[in-house]
Amino acid sequence: MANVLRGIKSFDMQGDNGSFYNDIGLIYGEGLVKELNQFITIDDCRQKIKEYIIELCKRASPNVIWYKTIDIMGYELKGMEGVENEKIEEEYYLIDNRGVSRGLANQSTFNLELKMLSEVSEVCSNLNVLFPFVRDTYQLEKCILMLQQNNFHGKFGIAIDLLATVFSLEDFLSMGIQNITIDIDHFTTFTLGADKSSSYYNTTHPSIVAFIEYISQIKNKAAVELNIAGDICGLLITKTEHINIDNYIMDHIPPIDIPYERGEPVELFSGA
Amino acid sequence: MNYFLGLNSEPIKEIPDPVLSGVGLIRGEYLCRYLEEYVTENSCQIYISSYLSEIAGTFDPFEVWYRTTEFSSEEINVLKGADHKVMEPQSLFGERGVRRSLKYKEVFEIELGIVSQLSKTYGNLNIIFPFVTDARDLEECLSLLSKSGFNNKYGVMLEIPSALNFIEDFISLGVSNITIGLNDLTTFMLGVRRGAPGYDMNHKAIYAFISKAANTINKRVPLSVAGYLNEEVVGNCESLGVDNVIIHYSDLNRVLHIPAEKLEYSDRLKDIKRLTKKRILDSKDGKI
Repeated sequence: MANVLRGIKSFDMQGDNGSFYNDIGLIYGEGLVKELNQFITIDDCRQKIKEYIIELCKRASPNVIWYKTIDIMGYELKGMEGVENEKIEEEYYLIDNRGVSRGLANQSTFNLELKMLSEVSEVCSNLNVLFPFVRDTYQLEKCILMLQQNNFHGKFGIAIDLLATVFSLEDFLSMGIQNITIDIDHFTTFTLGADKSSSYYNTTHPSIVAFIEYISQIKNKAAVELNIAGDICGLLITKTEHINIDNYIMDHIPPIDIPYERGEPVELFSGA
Repeated sequence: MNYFLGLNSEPIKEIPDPVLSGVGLIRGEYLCRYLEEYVTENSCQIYISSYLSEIAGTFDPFEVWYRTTEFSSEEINVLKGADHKVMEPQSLFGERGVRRSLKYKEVFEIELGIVSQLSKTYGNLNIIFPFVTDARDLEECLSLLSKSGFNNKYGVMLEIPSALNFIEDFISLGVSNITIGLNDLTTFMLGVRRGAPGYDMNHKAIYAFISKAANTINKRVPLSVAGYLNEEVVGNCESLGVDNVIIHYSDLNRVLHIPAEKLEYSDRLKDIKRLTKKRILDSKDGKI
C-alpha cells in the first residue's frame, strides 16, 4: 500500500501539527528560493533554507527527508537577487537549462547548494538529496563527485523527468541511487510533447502509465524506493495502484481531479 | 540497409545518386515555407501538387513519401493564408503536425485531397503522418484519408516518445512505414533543443529507443530513421535494427559523400530556415 506524502514548495511550518512533519515527501529547492526571491548565491538565502531544512529534519526524525536540488527556469529568475551569472533569457524555457544541467553549467553556484546540504547532513542524518533532470550517467557522476567533495553524509537519488533517464535506469541503479521519483508533470510534458496548457497533456495517458510500469520493472531489480511526485490526480493513483509505488508525493492533498480536455484516450495500449 | 532521400522543396530533376532507393520524406511544411503561403492558398496547393508530381515522376517506380505539414504555430502565423493565428509561448510543445491538422480539419482535408488526387496517377506516392501521440491520432488521420479517396501506402512518424507504446496498434491499423523522427525525438527525450549543449543523437537512451522500436516491429514493417543525421548515427543504425535511413538532400555530401557538384540545391534548406526566421522576427517587431 503506497503512502501519500506532501511536496514542500514553501517555508511552511504548521506549528505542533505532528502529522504534517511525518508526511514530508520532498522539499523542492526552487520553491524556497522563489519564495525568498533570492537565489542560492545569496548568503542569507542559504542560511534561511539551511535553518528550515534542519527544522524539518528534526521534527520529521526518524523519518527521512528528501531535498530536490533547484530546478528553475530562466523566466522564474527574472528580478531575483543573486542571478547575475545565470542564463535568464531562454526562447524555450521548458528545455535546455533544467535541473542539474543548469547546476553543472555553473558549478560554483551548484556547489554552494550542495555545500549547504552537506552542512545540514552533518547534524541531520535523515537528510537525503535528489537530483532533477539527470540525462545520463556522466551528469550523475559529476553530481556524486561534488557531493563527496563536500562530505555529504546522506543518500542520493534521481528524479525522472525525461524518458532518457528511464532508458538509462539500470546504469543509474549501479551507481548507488536509493530513490527514484517520477516527476509526473515534467515526465508527461516531455513524453507527450505537450505542455500543461495543451489539450494533449494528460498524466494518466496509457503511454505514461506504461512507462511507469516499465520503470517499476527495472526498479524491482534493486532495493530502492519508487515514488511519483507532482500534480497527482485520483485517476493516476487508480491507474497505477497495481504498480509497486512506494509514495505518492502530492502538491495537493487530497488530490484534485483534473478534467483532461482531450478526454480519455481509447485503451489501445500495447506495451513498451 | 537502404538509403532514402529527404527533400524540403529542392526542385531536383533527376535522382542525385544510384545509392538512393527512393524519397523517404518530403517535408510538406517546407513547400509552404518556401512559397511563404499556407495550404489554404490556391497557388500553394498548385505548387504542392506540381512539386509532388515532379518528384513522384522522377523517382518512379521507387517509393516517394510525402509527410503532411508539421509546423510550429509561429511558423504558420507568418504565412500568407494562415487560417488561425495561434499564440503558443512554447510552440515546440504545442499544436504541431497532426495536432493542428486534426484541430482544423478543413485545411487538412485540402492537403489530403491534393495527395489523394495525385495518388491516382502515381502509384509510388505515399503519405506519412507526423507528430502522432497515440493510436487515436492515427485513426482520425486514416478516417480522413479514406474519405479523400487515397489508395496508396501510409505510414506514421515516431517522434513523440509516447508513440513507442502504440507500435502494435499502428501495425494493426495497416501502416507500411514507421519512421523515427530523430530531431524532435532527441529534443523530447533529452530535454535539449537542437544545437544546444547536451543535444546528442548518439545518446545511449536514443539508441535504446530505436532498438526497442525495431524489436517491437520485428521486421513486419520497414523501420526508417530520419532527421538531420550525422555519420555516427547513420553508421550505427543497421546494428540497431533499422531498415532505411533517410538522408536529407543537404546532408548527402557530408554523410554519403555524394559530390557537391551534383547537389546544386544544397543551400535551399538553409535559405528557407533563414527566411522563416526573418519573418518571425519581423512579426515580433511588428513589421508584418
